[in-house]
Amino acid sequence: MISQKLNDQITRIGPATPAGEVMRRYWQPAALSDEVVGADPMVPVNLMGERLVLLRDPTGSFVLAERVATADEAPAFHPDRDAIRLVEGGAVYPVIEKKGVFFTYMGPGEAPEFPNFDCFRAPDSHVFAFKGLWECNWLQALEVGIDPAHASFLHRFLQDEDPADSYGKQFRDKAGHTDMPMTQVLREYPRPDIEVEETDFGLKITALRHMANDLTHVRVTNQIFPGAICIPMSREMTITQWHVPVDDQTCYWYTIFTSFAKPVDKELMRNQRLKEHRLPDYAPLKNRENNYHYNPEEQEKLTYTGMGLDINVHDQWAVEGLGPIQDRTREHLGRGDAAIVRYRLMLRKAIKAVETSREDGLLMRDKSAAAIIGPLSNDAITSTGNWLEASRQADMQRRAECPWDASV
Amino acid sequence: MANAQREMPVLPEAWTWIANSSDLDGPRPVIPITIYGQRLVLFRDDEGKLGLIERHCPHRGADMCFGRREDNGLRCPFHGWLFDRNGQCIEQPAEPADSTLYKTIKLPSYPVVEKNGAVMAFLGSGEPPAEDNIA
Amino acid sequence: MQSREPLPEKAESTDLAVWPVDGHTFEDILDGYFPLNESVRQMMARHQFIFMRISILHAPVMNIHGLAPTEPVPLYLRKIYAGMIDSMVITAERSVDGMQMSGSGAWMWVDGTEETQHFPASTRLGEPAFVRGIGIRSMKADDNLTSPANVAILRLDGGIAEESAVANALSRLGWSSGRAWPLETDHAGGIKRSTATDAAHRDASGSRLLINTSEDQLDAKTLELSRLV
Repeated sequence: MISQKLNDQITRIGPATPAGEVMRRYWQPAALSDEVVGADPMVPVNLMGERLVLLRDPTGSFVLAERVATADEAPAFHPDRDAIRLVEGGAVYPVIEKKGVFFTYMGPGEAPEFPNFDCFRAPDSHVFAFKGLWECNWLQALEVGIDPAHASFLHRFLQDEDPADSYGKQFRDKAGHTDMPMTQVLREYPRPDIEVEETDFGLKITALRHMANDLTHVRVTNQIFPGAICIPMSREMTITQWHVPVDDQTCYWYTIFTSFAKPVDKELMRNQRLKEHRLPDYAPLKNRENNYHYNPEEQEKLTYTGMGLDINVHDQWAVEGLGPIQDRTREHLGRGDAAIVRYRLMLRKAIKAVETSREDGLLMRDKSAAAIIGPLSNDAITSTGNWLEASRQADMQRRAECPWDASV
Repeated sequence: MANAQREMPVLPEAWTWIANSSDLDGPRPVIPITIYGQRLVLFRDDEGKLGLIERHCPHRGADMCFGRREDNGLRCPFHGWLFDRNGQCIEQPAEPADSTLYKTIKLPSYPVVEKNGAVMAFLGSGEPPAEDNIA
Repeated sequence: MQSREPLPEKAESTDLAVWPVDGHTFEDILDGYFPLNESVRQMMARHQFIFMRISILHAPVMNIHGLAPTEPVPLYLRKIYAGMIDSMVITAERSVDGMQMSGSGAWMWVDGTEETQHFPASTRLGEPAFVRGIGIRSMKADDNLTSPANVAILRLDGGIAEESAVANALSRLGWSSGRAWPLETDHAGGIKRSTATDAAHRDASGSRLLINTSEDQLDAKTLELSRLV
């Protein structure tokens, strides 16, 4: 339960807002490379409360330029090419294309270096990017991603699928080196111990599920400051996902799926996801209007939510159901929300640092950011006494067997 | 919508019709009730008794109209918090085992009676009037 | 009111009044929504500490007038209840009738009308709060340490400057570096607004809590803690 004023402070992202000023000091995803076609593209981009267009400047470099917009435009509005007018003398922001995503820097001064995360150093053949629209504030979207406990409930499967059909799907693989499907581990061990450590990029979040026979399931996920997460998807792939504000009440998730050993089957990954979204705004087809295809019979027999097998839909229901901006004057966090608590502390510190012009303490803003590699992000089942080292070893093995340089 | 200065509407000091018993006839007796600006959820528990409680989970705010009706209460699908028909939180299955946080959590709830196929609620303050007064 | 077991006059094996105790640095999360002293009491019980010094940063709080300590919190937070701890240090000790705590810090209320010098005792955390701290399970000299001591108590006698006493103590403990905080507490004073002169008012003859920051012993928790005021 925090006051409305404190909730506004950490959620609102327009120019000159406390959280908006922090977000603007980092590179943010603006568009997918998939959206940018032709020799002279003009892609509408709605980002951080600003109405922009991605195009080439006279030198041929991509930039984001301010476009004319009316106040009643829908948050993710995509005007036709002919209807796009640039604001004369309006803002122009630099753009860099990386691994299927155009990133932009909308902050003051020099843009920071890109950290050398796995998703940026893997070859193009081993990454795939996609995005989707959620009708809610970015912070509640991020907070579900740094909440290891919810997977045992929201994503609970009352029966397990065959892990052989798991390609490109979250939580459907076998856990670690065992034959136990991840869905079974999550279901049977719902009360993880959660350890949170501050790192040079944000937070390392370790969820420990102590199982029978002195075994522990170790799931390592990460918060990348300010708005992203890096989590395991399967033994083969990780997900690096940014929650990017469109405006205060709408956001996009942008994900770079990164594969270690094998190249990504991009066609399959794209088709799996295009089936669930419409273009050009990447709005999900299951949504609030159609009750997320909620089926009470399925909820009784198959899934915890009754909203199908795609866990993205579960997350979307959970975060959109909290309202356009979650009313934190009525929330009650517990110790199970440890990573959310730590994240808010980090965000409040950053807000204070920006407000008092003591920005040296902000993460990943200086040259050393380029030296940050990883992060470690995996699932492992280990002997309980040795989980820390065993979890690291499991990740090291995956990295050692990988055809690109994934060393840490 | 987020609004800390939510004004409580004036609520009637009499039993008020909110639904018909037949609305709860299906296999999953859980329905949303929006009345006098209150967003509530009405459900029948395993004992056959009705509960009328605030609709959004007090943890993070998930919509419990999609809740799981089980263990003699309504369970939020987000983290499994379980509420009884009086709105008292009785389980937080993802919190550390030693946690007693659930004791501090109680959703607003309203007395409900069924009479002649109608579900009547008392939304007022203090003790509800005698049920005999229900027409 | 004081019920702490009396500190030994001197540790037996040394002529300097410094002795290692069964304690460690730690990180944990205080539960929210209970009155703050109940959240702190629960944390002490979890760790089986008899004494604890914790540091809180940027933590939302609420003070709900007229709400009994054991009552559930109301569902909505009205603005007048809400505030924020900027920073706060709390010391808590187990006592015969439960626990006593005191401390100092900086905090604000959203409506700005309750700028008292004392932090209201009925205040509750508005969300769980991450803390860094030092906890002690026994104040007695711990002769059974299986690994090098990381927490110790130093009694100052006033005849020697604090800096020299601490330096002597570290040398006696075999620590190459350490940090000292005042151990004395004034539970009757509750939690007070910190002032610029707090540090100058350290009791020169009081006791100190020492933690080991020697490089070969330093873990991440201790390092973070040692950076705190």
